[in-house]
Parts: sequence; C-alpha cells; structure tokens
Amino acid sequence: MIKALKLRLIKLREVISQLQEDLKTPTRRMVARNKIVGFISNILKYILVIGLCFVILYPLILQLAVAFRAPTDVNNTSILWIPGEFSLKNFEVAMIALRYFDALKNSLILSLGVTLLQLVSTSLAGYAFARLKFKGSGLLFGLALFTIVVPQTVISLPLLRNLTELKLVGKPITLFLMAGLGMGVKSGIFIYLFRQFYRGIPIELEEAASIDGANPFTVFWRIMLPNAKGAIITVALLAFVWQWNDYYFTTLFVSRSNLDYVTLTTQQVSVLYGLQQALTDAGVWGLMGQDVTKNPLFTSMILNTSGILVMLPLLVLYFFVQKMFVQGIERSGIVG
Amino acid sequence: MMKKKIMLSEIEITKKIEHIETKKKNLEKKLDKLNDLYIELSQKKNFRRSVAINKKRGRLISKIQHCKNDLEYLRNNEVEKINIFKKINNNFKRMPYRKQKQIFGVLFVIPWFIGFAVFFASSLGTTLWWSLNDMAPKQGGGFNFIFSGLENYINLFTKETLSGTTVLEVLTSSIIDILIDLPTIIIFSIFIAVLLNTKFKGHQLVKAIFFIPVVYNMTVINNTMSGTFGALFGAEMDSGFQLSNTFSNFLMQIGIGGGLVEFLMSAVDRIFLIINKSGIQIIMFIAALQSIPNHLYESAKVEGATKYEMFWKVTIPMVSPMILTTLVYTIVDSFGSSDIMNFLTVNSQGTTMATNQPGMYSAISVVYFLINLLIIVFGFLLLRKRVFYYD
Repeated sequence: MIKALKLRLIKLREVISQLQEDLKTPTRRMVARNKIVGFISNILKYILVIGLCFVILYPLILQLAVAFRAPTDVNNTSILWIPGEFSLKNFEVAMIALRYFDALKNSLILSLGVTLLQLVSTSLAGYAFARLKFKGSGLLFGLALFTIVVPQTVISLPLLRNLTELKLVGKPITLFLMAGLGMGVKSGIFIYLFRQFYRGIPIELEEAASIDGANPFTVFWRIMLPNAKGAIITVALLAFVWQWNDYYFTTLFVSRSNLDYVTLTTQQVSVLYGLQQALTDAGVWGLMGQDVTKNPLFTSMILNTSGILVMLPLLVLYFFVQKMFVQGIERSGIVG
Repeated sequence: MMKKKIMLSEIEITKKIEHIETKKKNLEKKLDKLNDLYIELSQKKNFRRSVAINKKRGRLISKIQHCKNDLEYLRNNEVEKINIFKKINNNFKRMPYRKQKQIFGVLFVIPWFIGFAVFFASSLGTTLWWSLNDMAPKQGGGFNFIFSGLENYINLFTKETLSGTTVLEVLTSSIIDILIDLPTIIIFSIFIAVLLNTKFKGHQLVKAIFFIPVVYNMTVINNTMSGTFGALFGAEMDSGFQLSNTFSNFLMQIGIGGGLVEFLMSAVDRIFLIINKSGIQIIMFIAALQSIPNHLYESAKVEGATKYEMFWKVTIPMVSPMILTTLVYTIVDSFGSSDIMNFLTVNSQGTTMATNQPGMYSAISVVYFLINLLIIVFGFLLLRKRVFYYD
C-alpha cells in the first residue's frame, strides 16, 4: 500500500518536474497557457449557454408545472415545481374554454394554406427581383422593402372598409387572397429573404442550363427551387408560425364579424380577457365548485394551460423540422 | 407513335394567302419609300440617319422573304394547323434569352404587384387622405368629410390624452425604450450567433433551444410571466438572485456611475424579453457568419492575429450589412408592441377610435409610421459609412 503510494508520489514529482521543464521554453509555455485559457473559456461558455437555455425554457417549464397541478391544490403553498398529484383536469377545462378541436382545425387549415400561398407568391417575386431584372424592377423591390417598414395599423382601416364593400370580411378566403397576392403577414421579409438567397446561387448554373436550351421558367423550376431548400424551409416555418400566432389580421378581417370562425390564437386572446365569461358559457361551473372557479389562481392556471395548448402544435412541428430548419439557416448564406 | 398532322383546309389556305399577300404588298410599299429616302440621304451625305435606315431596310427585306416563304409553303400545302398556344410558344422560343427573362420577370412579379396595388398602396393613400380630414360619422353609415388640413395632427399633440398621459409622453418613453433595446438586442444577437457558430459538445441541442423563441406566442408568454403564477414563481426565483442585488450595490458603492448601473440592471431585467425578441436576428447573423469565406480567417491566422482581433477586423466588417438589416427589422418589430398602440383602441372620450374618429386614427398611425421611418433613417445614416460590402 505504502509502496504503491510512494511510487505514485514519484510519478507525480516526475510530471511536475517535466512541467517545470516545459515552462522554461517560451513556445511550450505558450501552448500550456493556450490550453488553460481554452479550458476556462470553455467552462464559462457552458455556464453561459446553460443559463440562457434555462431563461428560454423557463416559461415552458413554468407552464408545464402549473398545468399538471390538480385544481384542488391551487392554494397549496408547499407545492411549487412538481405537482402533488398529476391531473388532467386543467386541460379539460382549457380545452372547453378554447373550443379546442374546432379552433385547432381552423388554425391548421388557415396556417397551412397561407404558408403554401405565401411560399408561391414570395418565392416567385424574390426570384424575379434577384435574377429576372426588367425595367423598373429595382423600384418595385424598393416598394417591397417599404411594405416591411409600414406597420399594419396604418393600412388596416381603409383596407377593412374596402374589403367590407367587396363582402370579403368574415371569410378566411380574405387571408388566403392576401397571402396569395404577397400581402400576408410580413410577406415583405420573405421576399427579401428569397431574393438574398437566390442572389447567392452561382449564375454559372443558370447560364449552363440556358445554353442547354432551358427557358427561364425551367431554370427556376428545375435548378433554383431544388437548390433553395434551405430558404424554403426557413420561410415556410416562419410563415406558418407567424400566421398561427397572428391576432391582428385574423380578428380584424375574419373573427370579429364571424364569431363562429375561431383560431387558437384569437380564442386564446378572448379567453385572456374574459375567462370567467368563457367558463360560464362552456358550463364549467357545474364541473367544480364556485370557490375553486372564482379563485384568481385558478384563472391563472387555466390561462397557463390554454397557453400550452395553443403552442403545443407549434412545438411539435418545431421538434420535427428543427434539424432541417437549423441546417437550412446555416446553408442559406443570406447576406444583408 | 407519330402525331398525325392536321393540314389546313382549302378555304383557310386561300384566306391565308390573301392575308399574307396584302401584308407583303404593304411591306413592299414601305420598302420602296425607304429606298427613296435612303438614296436621298446618301446623296446628302447624312450618314448617321442613312445607316439607321439601312438597318430598317434589312429588317423589312427579311420580313418580305418570310412572307414569300410562307406563301410557297401554303401553295404546296405543307403548312400544319397549329393552335394559338403553340403559336405563342413558337414565337417565345424565337426570342433572345435576355428578353425571355424580362418577360418572366414581369410575370413573376405580377401577383405581388396586384396585391401591393389593391391591398397596400390604395389603403396607404386613403389613410393619408383621411388623416387630413375631420370625419364625423353620418347617420345610416358612412362619414362626413370636412377637409381640415393638419388639424388632426395638431389636436393629437395638444389635446389627446389617455389615462392622464399625453401622446408626446408616450412617444418619448417608447422611443427611449427602443433606443435601449436596439443596441442590446443587436449586440446580444451577434454575441449569441458567434457563440452558436462554433462547434462544441451538444451544439445541435443548444441551437434547437435557442430558436424556440421563434415559435413562441408572445402574448401567451407575456401573460404567463406576468400572471399570478408567474409572479409566484418569480418571487421564489428572486430569493435566489440576491447575488445580483449585492453586486449592483457593490458597483454603486465603489462609485461607478449610477446611469450605467441602471442601464445594466434594466438590461438584466429585460433579459428574457431581449432573448425572445432576438430569435430572428440570431438566425440572420448565423446565416451571415456562415457565408464568411474561411480563407479570410486563415490568412488572418497566418499573419498572427489573435481571436479578439479576428473578431473585430474580420467578423464584424463581414456581418456589418446584416447589422443594418436587423436594425430595420428590430425597430419595426419592437415599435409594433409599444404603448402608442393603446391610443388606437380608445380615444379620450372613451369611445372606440376606429369607428368614431377615423381621421384621428389615421393621424395617429401616420405619426407612428413617420417616427418609425425617422429612427430607421437615422440608424441607416449612422451605420452607412461603417458598413462594408465584400462583393
């Protein structure tokens, strides 16, 4: 035992003396210093990254912790993060208040349709602005950028009046129409993204194809689009999410005059401002006692749960496309 | 299988021959005139015009030749019957590639342009016009327009109040908010983008987490954070953050300026907001970082540059065009959620603005838009000379 220890001590001394030898030559000293600095900065980096990840995930964790709490445990102060007994009662109540499946169906159809239409209109316009230059295309691109800068509120009121005259208000087709004509939620940004992306594809590809007898549309369809996968995924995800979370246009043009048409986001906001009313309408009073439902903590709990339910489809979607999305961004090579 | 060719009937042939012959006659008349003109000009030694006319003559001659060929084909009954679609296609194929591209460019832009004209430009114009009018609701729908010049704007800044605050106060406070947020968001997102761009263990997972805020619904999240439960958890968390308080007290005591500490503390308080606002910006910066050619870093390394120098001398100039873009995006995005929006819902008399005072509503949104534009132009001018374009 002691012998083994002694051997180790000797070895340690050797290592230390070796280190001292090393530190005498300047290059080796440099190497050692770089190693130590790298190690410390790595640790700092991990601490920072983990902290920031926590800050990002904090609301999600909070929502989950609250959502699974049983309604009878509302006032129990000993329970904070981990619920005392798991219960799905909150989900039931929130689903009723949100008119969940109705709203989910509408949200899905609306977001998918709008995403597809926006992809078509913005990728065409973006490609034209990048490669198919004609007289005045520079000016038109300037106007497209201008639409990004102008806030929605500036155009909303006259637009609402015009659409009412055309009897388009209250139908989701209005939103499809706007998306198909390149005026959906933040379409200007998508045009810009597509233009920057197409500009990055080498022009030699196009020239080679045109020499082989391809017309501009074939070039676009066969060469540019397959190469633009990264940009398409990025834009599709953003368009889907922004339409899903859009409250302003959806309420103004559809939901406000057509109360039957609800999306998850509009329903969430209306629940936000009138939960008690929504619960009364849905007949939740019967499920639980008044002392529970009137409790402000209960209200907050239901709101949290409905928040999860609204974001859940998006999070699932993100989970599936996340890898493609990250890679798409890295390969897109967008430069201002 | 060979497609069976459909030939023209005799009546069609005679019709076509007639048509082409009249066309040919017209062209020949034109050619005669040009010939006369050409001779006259060449006698006058006006060479520039005569060259131009010679070109025209060439084109006419080739057209006449085409007519002659067509006639010959028709007389021998060799002409295939084709529909309009094919005709257009044939004509299109004969065009030079440059012209084809222009035509497709126009075709591709048309859907967007229709949307722009119908939904955007007309509405913007109407808003501008409404903001210059005093609009009172008429009985039975519609409005009475009374042109009032800039009265709406003057009223807006002198009379309009919302729960005790004037428009000017709200505007200044939201501008100050933006001016604090803007540099923080941009610096933060560059920093995070550089961090995420390096390869370390688990970088895939970290990237996936950092882009989650793109998916977040901000109304929901804000409500979660500020709701009753949010406050409850927040209080629990705050007891763990004693350190930051002691640290700020320490900074105050050793006499580092109060303003700086306050700025830092407000930035720390907003850390959640800032992270969630900078999702898109991080994406943009990562894309920009990826497009920096690697040989720049290699040559910098060979010249003996440290990482710090490389960051300032290579990375920052190369992503500087993107800084401008994110600046614009950030301003637009954060102004959309500022307090001035509250003025748009309820006016000082407590009635809804949009239905009762559209003139005033338009004036507010125009002011809001102009300030937006002003900040962007200011930022643009500030950064314009520092932006470096690689290509």
